[in-house]
Amino acid sequence: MLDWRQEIHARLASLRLDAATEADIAEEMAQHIEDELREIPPYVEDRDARVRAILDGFDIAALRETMRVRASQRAAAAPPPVGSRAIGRNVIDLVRRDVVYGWRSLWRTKAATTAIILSLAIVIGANTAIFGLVDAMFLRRLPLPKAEQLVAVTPVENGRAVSVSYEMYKQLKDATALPIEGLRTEGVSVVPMTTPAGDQTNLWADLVTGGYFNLLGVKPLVGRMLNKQDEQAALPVAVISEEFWTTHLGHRPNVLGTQLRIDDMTVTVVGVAASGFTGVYFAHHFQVALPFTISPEGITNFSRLSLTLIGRAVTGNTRTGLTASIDGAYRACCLDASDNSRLHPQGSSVGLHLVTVDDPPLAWAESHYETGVPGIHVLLNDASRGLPWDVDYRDRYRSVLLATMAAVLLLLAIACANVATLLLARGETREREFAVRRSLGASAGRVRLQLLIEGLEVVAVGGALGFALAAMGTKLLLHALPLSAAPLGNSIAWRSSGVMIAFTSAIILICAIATGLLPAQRAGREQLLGSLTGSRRHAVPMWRADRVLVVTQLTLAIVLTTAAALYVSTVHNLTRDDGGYRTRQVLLVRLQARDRDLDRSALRSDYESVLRDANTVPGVERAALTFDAPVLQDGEMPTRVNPPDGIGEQQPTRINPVSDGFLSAAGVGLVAGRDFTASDDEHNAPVVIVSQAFARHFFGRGSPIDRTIYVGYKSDVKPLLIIGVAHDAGYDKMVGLGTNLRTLESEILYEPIAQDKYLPSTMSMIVRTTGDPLGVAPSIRRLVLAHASLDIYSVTSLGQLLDDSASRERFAAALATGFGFIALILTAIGVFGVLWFNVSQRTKEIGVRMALGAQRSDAVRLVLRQSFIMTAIAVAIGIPLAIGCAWTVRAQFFGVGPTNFPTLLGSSLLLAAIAMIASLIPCQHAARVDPLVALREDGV
Amino acid sequence: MLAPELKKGSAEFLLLSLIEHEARHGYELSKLIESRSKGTIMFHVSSLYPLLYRMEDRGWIVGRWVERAGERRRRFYSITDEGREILIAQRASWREFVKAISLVAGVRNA
Repeated sequence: MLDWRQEIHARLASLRLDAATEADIAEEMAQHIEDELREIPPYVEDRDARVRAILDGFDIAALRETMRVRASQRAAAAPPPVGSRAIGRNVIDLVRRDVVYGWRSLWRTKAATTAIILSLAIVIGANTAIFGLVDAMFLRRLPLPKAEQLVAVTPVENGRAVSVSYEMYKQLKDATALPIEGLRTEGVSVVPMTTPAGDQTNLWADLVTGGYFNLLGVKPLVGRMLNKQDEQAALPVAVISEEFWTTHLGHRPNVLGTQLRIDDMTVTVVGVAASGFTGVYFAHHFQVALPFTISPEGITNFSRLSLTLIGRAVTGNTRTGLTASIDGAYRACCLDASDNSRLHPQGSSVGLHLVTVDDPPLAWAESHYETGVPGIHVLLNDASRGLPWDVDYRDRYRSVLLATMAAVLLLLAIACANVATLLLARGETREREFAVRRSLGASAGRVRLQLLIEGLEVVAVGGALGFALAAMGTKLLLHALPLSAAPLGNSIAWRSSGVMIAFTSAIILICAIATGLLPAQRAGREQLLGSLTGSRRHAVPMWRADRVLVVTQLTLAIVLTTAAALYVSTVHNLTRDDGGYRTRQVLLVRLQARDRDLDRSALRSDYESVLRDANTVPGVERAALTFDAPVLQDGEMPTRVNPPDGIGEQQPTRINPVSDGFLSAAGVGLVAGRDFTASDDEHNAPVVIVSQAFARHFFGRGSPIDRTIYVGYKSDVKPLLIIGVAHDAGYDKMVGLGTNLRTLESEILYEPIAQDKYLPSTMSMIVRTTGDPLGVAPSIRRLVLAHASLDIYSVTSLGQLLDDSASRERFAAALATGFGFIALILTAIGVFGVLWFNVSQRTKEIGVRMALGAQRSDAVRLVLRQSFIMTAIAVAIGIPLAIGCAWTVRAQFFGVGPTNFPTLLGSSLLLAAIAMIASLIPCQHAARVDPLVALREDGV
Repeated sequence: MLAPELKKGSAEFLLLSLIEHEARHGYELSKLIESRSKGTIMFHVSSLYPLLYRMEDRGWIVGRWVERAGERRRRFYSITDEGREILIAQRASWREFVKAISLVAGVRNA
């Protein structure tokens, strides 16, 4: 006979119960079986089979689950035996079970879960990527010890940074307690004198003072850094970056002692800077440093070259205190009595001063210091995040990046709303599950916690995926940057730093709370009875919450699509409008004097010679010189125009010295009068050509030809005879100093350079070509460099320059369009989700209506009506919001305003169309409701 | 036989009702359900005991070993105050459910 007591114990053994519990259960089971057996008549032969059947049906899994729950409940109920660790373990155990349960539940609704996770991944990725850019550009400090103490020391007069000579630096350094060092970055050619000799590379060398590396706290990776002896003895030594060591010297181990030919000097490498040191500039990497006092060929008379001063404001000193002290030192050392007039500038408005052209303000300083503060002559500015290099990218991209950050946060809000909607909708279908759990004793809090954990799970997975997407997204974004911003690309390339992880985690947490709370709150007040019995009666229809969320999404999507449309129009307008120049066949060669102290007459004859030669190059239609480079407008020569013939108001106006032929070469062209000729030189009466706008302003409808205007400042006023009127041409400030001004300054005076006594040391040559402008670039470059006094700063085509000048807007347009597209998709999912579940919920209602004679079209109308109402509300809120948002960034738009009617109408219609498309499937679903099926399904 | 889902939802309700007035042991409970439902509802030993333990864990019922003269000791289950509350709630909800079904489907309450 079967020993079923033994059998029961064998089965229970796998549960690993404590002895007493196992004995209890075994006894109870055994009794039950005995009772059963007692009822089996004695004549039944196969009693063992009956017992086995009972035993085999024994649900060991159910018992195991029951015992597990019992064990965990006992553990939870028991007072903590050994302190907080046990509590922690219990909590972890509870959470672990919820996490596993949550996954199972999410896995059951794979489609919804995938949609939720993907939409979260996209927006969290976008947020992380954009934040990464914001971090790299505005938050990250230079990788130097105590970088926050670094300051840029800039003497300022009349709001302009003045150049700092080596002498001035030494005096200032001696006179102040603030540790100051200086550097100057010069373009040099470098040839490694290794065997075989390396290739010649043109790069930027930092000429630094002796204590520079010590001040920054840079340690050598190999060898030593530059020091005071190097500066004092002007030793021909160099320190290189690790990058240079790798790229140009093949990372050879015996790098110390390697000789480099820098221009015409030979220097010896004495050290490699610690890896990670990239210099003190933003978006520009340090490569080679030399003692400031050595003088590479071509950089003569170094003592007159301007230094950039870096100081370290050690703790305990306030910025104001330091500024006052260094200001006093500067006055004492560097402003003598004869300079006293400089303390009292006669006018504070920069625009009214005739600025000498051969002493232009430091490029980066101008964007930093707007106007002079009376009495302050030295400014201390934060240098901890790096000084701007030739282009101040921070200033240029600040508004775009901040607007983008706002846009991705909007997207995040949309996605959160979406996920909340989908989770709510999932919650709808899970009513019964929650009701059962509640009736089985789960508290409302427990069910809420479960939902929060589910929310956290999808958000965490989405977030992790998003972090990976962000790395890829950053790469894509950097592709949208113009080629000219390649150094910027290096500086803002993706780095997964602690700050980034913290940011993403914060975003994930916000999403989890935002998406989990509403469904959780909803589940908490679930009516048990209705769900258990199958009859659903909602005192408050829950989908009101969904509707609010979807309206929010639609509203945000309108804002984003409007912004995208405005940016796209801006790019279109920018590239279409070439500022008055026929740009596609123009080469722009920017010239500069090799030596600013050069004899003016030599420079003048070189300018003339270059112009003459350029006009003979095959493929050149016309070459001319201009001081103001079109589009770039990097020089500034404002002057004051006195009223013509002594009547009327005074007017600050831009005056542009040009060679004869400029107007035709640049494609500006004359409206009336004549162009300059070779005879308009210093021996003849000064003449001028004015722009149409200027003529309109001063002469109204009358002819300005042969009238005289008085141009200049104070004692330097000269009469100019107007000989011609030129078409208006734009001088756009988009490139260069990075201002946001997009005004086309078209009130311009052109004067012949032959009559300009301050011959500029920088000029631009405009070369109009018959073919591709870049085709003649090599010949032009050769002929310019054949002149001893001239050097080339850059050679570009004007068309390329215009395209580049719109690069920021193009970047913004690409971002806005991409994000607008994502927003539309997310919104479509949201609208679809809400309508679909709404239809599912109202199946019975629709069924009743149909049973009472409603048509299928009525059911469709029911759904469409909802969709329409939501869209209408969203448009009513979204349009003013879009206008408001666009208004705050209106400076970034060109040729289109925030209230552009077609744009607003277009984005509203687009949204309506998307909402309608998203309603199609729910409509179809509603139309297919079978009244009989609907009533039967929902009834019982 | 009743549909499994229906049985699942109602099992605890049935067990609570049976011990509402007196304590009973497991075998008795299974026999009572079977006989009173005229065989429509049957509980297998496999699911009965895990269910009882679960209800006990939840605090709805309490099981005690009782020894009576001339009998082996048996585990008797009695209802707790909490169990009584659940029973009242479930009874009300079932009553309403049955009423609703009668209204909709015209089934008369026997």
